[in-house]
Amino acid sequence: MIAATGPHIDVEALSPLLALTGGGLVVLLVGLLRPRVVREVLVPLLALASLAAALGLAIWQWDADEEIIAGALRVDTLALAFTAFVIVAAAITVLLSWRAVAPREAAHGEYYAMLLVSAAGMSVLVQAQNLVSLFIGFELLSVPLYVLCASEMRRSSSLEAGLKYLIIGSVGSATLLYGLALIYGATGRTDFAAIADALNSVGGPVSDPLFLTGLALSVVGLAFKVSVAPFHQWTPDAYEGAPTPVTAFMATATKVAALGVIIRFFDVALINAQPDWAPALAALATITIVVGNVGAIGQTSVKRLLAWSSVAQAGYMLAGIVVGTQHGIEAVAFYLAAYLVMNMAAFAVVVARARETGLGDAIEALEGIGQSKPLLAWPMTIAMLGLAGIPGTAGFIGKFFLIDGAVDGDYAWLGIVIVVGSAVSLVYYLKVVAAMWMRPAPRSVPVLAGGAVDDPPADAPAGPRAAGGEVTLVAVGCAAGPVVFGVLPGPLFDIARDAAAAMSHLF
Amino acid sequence: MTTAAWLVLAFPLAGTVIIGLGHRAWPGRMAGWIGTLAILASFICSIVVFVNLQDRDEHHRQVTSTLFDYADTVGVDAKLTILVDPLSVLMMLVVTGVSTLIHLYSVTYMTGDRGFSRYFAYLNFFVFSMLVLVLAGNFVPLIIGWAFVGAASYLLISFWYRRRTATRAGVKAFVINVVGDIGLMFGAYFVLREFATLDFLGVFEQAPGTAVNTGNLVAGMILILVGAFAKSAQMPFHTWLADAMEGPTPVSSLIHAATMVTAGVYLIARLWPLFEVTPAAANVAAIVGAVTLFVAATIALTQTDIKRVIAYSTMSQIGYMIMGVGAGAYAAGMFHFMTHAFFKALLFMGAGSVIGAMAGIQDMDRMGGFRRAMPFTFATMLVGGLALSGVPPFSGFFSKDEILAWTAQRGGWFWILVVAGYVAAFLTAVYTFRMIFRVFGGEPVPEARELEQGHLHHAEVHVNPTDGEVEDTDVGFPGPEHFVAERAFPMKVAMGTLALLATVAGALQIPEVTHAIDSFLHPTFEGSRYYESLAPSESFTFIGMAVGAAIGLGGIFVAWQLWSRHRGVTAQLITRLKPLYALSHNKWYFDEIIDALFVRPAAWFGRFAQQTFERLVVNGAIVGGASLIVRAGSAAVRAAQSGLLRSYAALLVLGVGGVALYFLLQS
Amino acid sequence: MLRSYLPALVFLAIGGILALVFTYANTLLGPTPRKTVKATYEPYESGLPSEVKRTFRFGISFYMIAMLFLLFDVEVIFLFPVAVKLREFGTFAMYEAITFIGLLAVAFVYVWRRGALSWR
Repeated sequence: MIAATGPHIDVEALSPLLALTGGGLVVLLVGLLRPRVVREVLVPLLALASLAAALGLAIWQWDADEEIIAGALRVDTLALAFTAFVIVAAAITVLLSWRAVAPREAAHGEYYAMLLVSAAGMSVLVQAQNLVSLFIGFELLSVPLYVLCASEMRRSSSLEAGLKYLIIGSVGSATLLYGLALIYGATGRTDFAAIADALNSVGGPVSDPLFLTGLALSVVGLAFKVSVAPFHQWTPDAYEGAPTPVTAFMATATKVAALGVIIRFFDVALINAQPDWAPALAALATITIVVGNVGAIGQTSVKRLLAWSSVAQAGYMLAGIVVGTQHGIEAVAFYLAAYLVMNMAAFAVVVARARETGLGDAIEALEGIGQSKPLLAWPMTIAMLGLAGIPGTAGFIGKFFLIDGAVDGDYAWLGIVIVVGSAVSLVYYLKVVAAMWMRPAPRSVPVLAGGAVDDPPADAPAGPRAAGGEVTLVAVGCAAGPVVFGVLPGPLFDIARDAAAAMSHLF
Repeated sequence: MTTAAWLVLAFPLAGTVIIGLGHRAWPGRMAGWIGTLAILASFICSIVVFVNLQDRDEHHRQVTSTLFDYADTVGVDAKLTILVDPLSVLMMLVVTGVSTLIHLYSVTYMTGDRGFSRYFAYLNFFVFSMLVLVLAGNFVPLIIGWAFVGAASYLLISFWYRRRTATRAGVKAFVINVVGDIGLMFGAYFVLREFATLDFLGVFEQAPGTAVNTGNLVAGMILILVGAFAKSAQMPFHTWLADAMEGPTPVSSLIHAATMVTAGVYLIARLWPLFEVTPAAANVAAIVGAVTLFVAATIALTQTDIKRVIAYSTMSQIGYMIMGVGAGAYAAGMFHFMTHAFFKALLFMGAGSVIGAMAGIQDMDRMGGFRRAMPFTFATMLVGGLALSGVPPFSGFFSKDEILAWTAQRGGWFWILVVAGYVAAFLTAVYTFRMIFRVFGGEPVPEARELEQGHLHHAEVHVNPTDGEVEDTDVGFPGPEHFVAERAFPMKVAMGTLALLATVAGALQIPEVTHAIDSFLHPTFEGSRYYESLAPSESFTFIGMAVGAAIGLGGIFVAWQLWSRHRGVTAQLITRLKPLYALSHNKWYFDEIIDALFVRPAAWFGRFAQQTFERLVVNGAIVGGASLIVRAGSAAVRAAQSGLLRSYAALLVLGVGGVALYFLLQS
Repeated sequence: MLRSYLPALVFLAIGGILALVFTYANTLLGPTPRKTVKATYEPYESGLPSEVKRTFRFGISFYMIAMLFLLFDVEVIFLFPVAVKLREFGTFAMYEAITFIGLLAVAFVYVWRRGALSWR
């Protein structure tokens, strides 16, 4: 019979999520107001405010470790840490979108509401400990992103990116859903812990073809979102076509959320089937590292290059999950944070240069900025070196711990793959660095003189205009991250350790 | 007390920053004085640390302090920790003390150089790095300091950056030092794998418990030795040191004689608990030290560049120290490090003064008769030379003798090393006084005459002493002015102090009389297998001392015969012993061997790959296996990335099928 | 177990039959003209052709309003279980329902202010 009382709702634990969704609603409604200043200033400010509130609440809840909403979500340090990463990424995206074309074309209210809802979906995803809430979070994350990809409505490549992302993403969702359904069919449970128990029981469904098919399909479905090869193919197209701030958000926050749910799904629900999935994930990680790094070579668009690089980076981080140890999760959490700031710095520079030069995201737009724009050249340099894993940056420490984690978990060969992959990656990361410092600025780049003489119309979709102080601020601020955490990784280590401590059943 | 220790680090760093930030603004010699004061302050703090340490109970003289945890997680404890114990304090005192004097010397010596401020910024940075290395209480700061001193050395060797020979020497030194850095880093990794900690005291605590000569640890310690050898210019990583003489002479004095190059000795002494459980590695150190000390002494015999003679002598003397600490004579090794710092810095300063009198010329063939023109330089260099030759009662006599006496106590094949040491000691006396007789004895050269008449020779045309190329005196080349100690008070103070120390420092550790160094270092080496047990018997000690003194005096006598009394004899000797002379004069062909073994094959392979392989094999298809695969893969991946949804869907189905197949098949 | 789905099955069958009936009732029951010429199907003298072609374009507003109607209509269904079992659920369900209606209201306001309801 139906229970007489509803589930207990722990509003405190739910508060970060409430802040995000509530913020989304408010932003949507405020965006309806007429005055331009409201739409262009107040709306992003409100979005930032709700993100700040959510971040504050997440930090306030830091020590929580409880199930909420009848076991649908779990609020623990892992979830909160990853939620915090997502919120930071979203806040940076808001800053990058401040003067971007996309929100103007898609209407500010909708754009920022979509962003907040997507962030809320990510938050749900990393907290999910139930197949149903997993899928809800997955869709809540994806659907707004499909729209955001296409939000630069007057640019056909943006629409194409949105469409491609929608179709391939839907296939991914369908695959995941099918996989989840089969797992439910095999174990009879939707709750992660109950699934783990069912797998652990004698004569359990571990070698049941039904379960294994479900496992395979869910691996594939999740692999889509993290863009693990060979399910990565939407990534370069969608990243390149989408408005750059949205690309930045997809490249960082989505990865955080998807890796978060992979950690929880595989290392909690399916931990007893680890011998089954670990080799498969390791193989996928290897393919991903190879394909990502190899694909990035020879790219002429920085966004495309970063897309391929993000594929490779996903492969590195998958290695930390394969081993199924706390150490591995710690490494993943650390690397995700480092990866987030490094990518954000790079994308901020791309945004700035695309606005300043009108050359879009081509590498030529970066040429010669070492002399003319040190405030952009340095962040990009640091981001590239950090992503390549040069010592002294947080990227190096993160990579070191991923390799260490892989070696500790008896996947030494995966560590070697990471090293080889990083060596190859230097080719394209250094190409960007070389373009900035060693080439003269191309003649054709129109130089801005304060925008005084021939100020282009405000809503011109392309063409040179000032990058905006907030973009430079993001670039410099995010680039400080890898350096600071490269020298003083202590605080980040604490966060990573706390996050991994939530998985206390692992070694 | 640790505050004082941190201050020891802070002053040179502050000096670097202050001089560096204002390097355009500092008027005159201001930058030099700032640098000198910074190091002096550091020296005073070192004394404070020393006094504080001595106040402590014997068993509590190992103090650590951590500035921050760089990374303290999952089995890696990389912390910025300093370890203050007698060993590091001894190093600290010598490094800061000698550095102060050399800074003082440089204030005059570098006047007129257009890079004056830059010079002192570098020099302060070097002292800072060296102190980081010395004070490190964890492998991570050790590696950082290790790399930093390498960088500082590179900057200072290439200080006259428009000289092609100088920049090339800098690159050579840097490359070899980086090889050493990598060795040290990998060695530290082995230690981490073995003991699960990077902290010195933590490692030392566990070390005695491990099995002797475990394969991993021996490999790790040999890798660490590679680092030590590269930094201390031991064979076969020694070739950079002679070329490093391209740097300004005070730099040679500070970095390439007194401090940096002895880092390897310090490292072995520091890690003694590890070397005592890996005797195989320790023996490698002792043997390499012995070989180096002998080979370098023979090379020094025939060099004509005054700085290179002293450079090879440095190699040789460090060989003694490495042999000593490798064999377990830790206190003797550190004692020799100290006395060597005094007399070798002094010799370099004297050489600098002579070079000043020669207006930049370093070739001894063109020198002579400076005895009367430069009495002060002559006297101080004589003191340095006597100490180097091991003549009692100068300091070098006691320290060198102690190394040999203690090493001999190990018995067995260690006697071979000791004999090599005594032979080299004889050679040392010969080459040292060859240098002194050739520079100060005989008929005065024109430059010496000019100086006697009260006029310092100035070159009309400035040339590079190595390859004779004509230079100007703008920034990037040495300045137009030259200085001799006789006329520059700061130089005189520095050299005088060092001469005094080189004379009396031996009194710290006179066998059977004083044991200052021994007892001071005792807390560091508590529990060592060799530290006390190696002490030679009384009769042995006195026989050793007598032999040492006789050998030193004998060498001087031979040198006097050859280069002062019968000046022509050497030419006959050279023709008679042509192969030996050629071997020595060409530095045992080490550069050529390395060139033939490593550089040439690499270059040949590169040429082959570039010209033959690339042109013939495909002209564009293969540029090397790896890059081919990467390129082909890249093309394949991009081909698959057609942008067409249907092809994506196809690959997707394939992927799903593959993954599903894997799961179903492996069940 | 499966029996509990029987009412749904019956409901489905009835719905299907009803739809078929409405579709074909006209053809079956209506008068059949004996003679048909082309002009029979043409509008009298003037006006739009009554036949709707495949390429015929509706105004976008039609779709918009139809879809919005569907959305709100379907969402209202969620209120039914609450209404039926309100007593058992107690206040919790009431708050839930209020929240839900609030969200619907937000959506409504949004749709309204965006002008999706105004026929253009």
